[in-house]
Amino acid sequence: MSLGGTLIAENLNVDYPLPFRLFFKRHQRRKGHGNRYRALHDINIVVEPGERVAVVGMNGAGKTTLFRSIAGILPPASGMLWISGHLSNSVERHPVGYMAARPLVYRRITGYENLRFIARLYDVPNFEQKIKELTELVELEDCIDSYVEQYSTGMMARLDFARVLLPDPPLLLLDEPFGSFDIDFAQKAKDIIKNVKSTVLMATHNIRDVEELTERLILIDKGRVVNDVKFENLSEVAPTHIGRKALGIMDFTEILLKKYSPKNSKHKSLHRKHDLS
Amino acid sequence: MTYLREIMAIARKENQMDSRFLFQFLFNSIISPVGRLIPLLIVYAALIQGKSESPIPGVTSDTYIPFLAIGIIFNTVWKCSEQAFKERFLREKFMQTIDLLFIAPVRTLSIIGGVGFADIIQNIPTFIFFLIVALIIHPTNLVGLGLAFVAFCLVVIFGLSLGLIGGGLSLATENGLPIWAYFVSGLTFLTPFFYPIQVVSMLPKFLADIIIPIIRLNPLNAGVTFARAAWLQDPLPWIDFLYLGLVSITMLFLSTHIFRFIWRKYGVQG
Repeated sequence: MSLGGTLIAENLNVDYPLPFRLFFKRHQRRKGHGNRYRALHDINIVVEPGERVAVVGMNGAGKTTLFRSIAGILPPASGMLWISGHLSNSVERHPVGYMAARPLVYRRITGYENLRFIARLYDVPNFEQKIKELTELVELEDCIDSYVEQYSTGMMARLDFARVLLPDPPLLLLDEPFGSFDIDFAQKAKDIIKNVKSTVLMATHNIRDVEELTERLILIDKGRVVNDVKFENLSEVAPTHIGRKALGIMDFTEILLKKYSPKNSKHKSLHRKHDLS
Repeated sequence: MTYLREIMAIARKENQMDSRFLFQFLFNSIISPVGRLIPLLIVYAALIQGKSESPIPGVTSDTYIPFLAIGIIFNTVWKCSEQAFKERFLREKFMQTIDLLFIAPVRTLSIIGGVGFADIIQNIPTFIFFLIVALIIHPTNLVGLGLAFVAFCLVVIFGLSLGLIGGGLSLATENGLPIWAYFVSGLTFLTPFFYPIQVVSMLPKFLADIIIPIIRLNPLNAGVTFARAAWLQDPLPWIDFLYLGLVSITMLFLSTHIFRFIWRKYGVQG
């Protein structure tokens, strides 16, 4: 597995076009830039090689937009994105393993043909062997030669997971990756992610995934980074209304109680201050 | 080597997806062009066959079948190559797999080459079928065959280059596609795939004066005219050949830049 890559976002802005309407009703108006509205505002992030970062925010906060922009799918309106010293949309850049919420696999060809296409495109050495290993890892040996259209949602997600790991990318972008997996495989996938040396950015709503897999948390709201903390300082995120909502207050309270024992005087003050108990 | 690997990977995947339903693939490649050709054959046969002097200038009872066979080859190839990117990009956009291609560190020229190569493979049955028909009716020599094939390849490059702009529009703004479709239809009608250019001069003079120069400027006309002359062993219009080559290669680089511009500015929308 390759060493992780550095990610630098510098004043990154991403715009989406506004829907074309002759007459806007009041509720349809969005603050825009001409005929576009800004989905991401001045994002400044530096992720060190091998770092694991959770990107958290409510639905529509801009997590997927950020990932799509890093992956090179959405061109920035302004600002820069560097991956291991290369611009994110340059062909010289290292491969980015982007696992979207919806599996990026071709349904009209077989699972094996999907993986072989990726292997050839990314010039994966000894790819036959690697595909075999990954197929076993994601437990798709029995159906790898079937058309993907015949797969269940979970099987497609597993194939997508294999697709992401195949080129050995230095940067992994995982957008709510465990939603379609069964409990056993979700745990297996987490173990795999724990063992990769790649830099990992993971969007999630599950505080347990944040705690288990990451060491840093970036909180996004309305397209802006509102908090960027190391996991030891997770309590900094807790008091904000957005942080509590984004992570799910019940889970969050539970994790706080578990992580900061009542003996810890600092934690007690946190409880008193924010009335989380 | 990198280009070749990327081109082959994309072409192979495209062909696997295109031939998922083999009957439909063969139907589109052979039966559909034959269906388009039959009414024309009937009209031409009725007008020309058995007459000592052809009422259609530039075509005789000996040459009208290879004339039409070459026309249908170029027409099919032009249609396929012009639509190759648009159809594939739209399909991938709706299936949301287009992202896969764009997150890969793949060169734009490789995408063009891969889709183009897949398009050529898709057109091979059409090409071989009508080639055999034309060879049976009006055999030609190896030089004629080779020159016609070079013209065919240049038309494919021209079609793919223009198709790439259509493909860029299909990704970025489908609002541009109807305007693009009118432009492509105009170009198709102003190419003598199924009629000799001489018949245009039979139109009212003011109309012929406008249309004939446009047809002469149309690189597709240059390709078809050159291929027919090579096949039928008429004097070769080298000017047409050079013009087609120059326009095709220029268009390839120009459309690559236009596609990159559209892609960088707008990304995938819709």
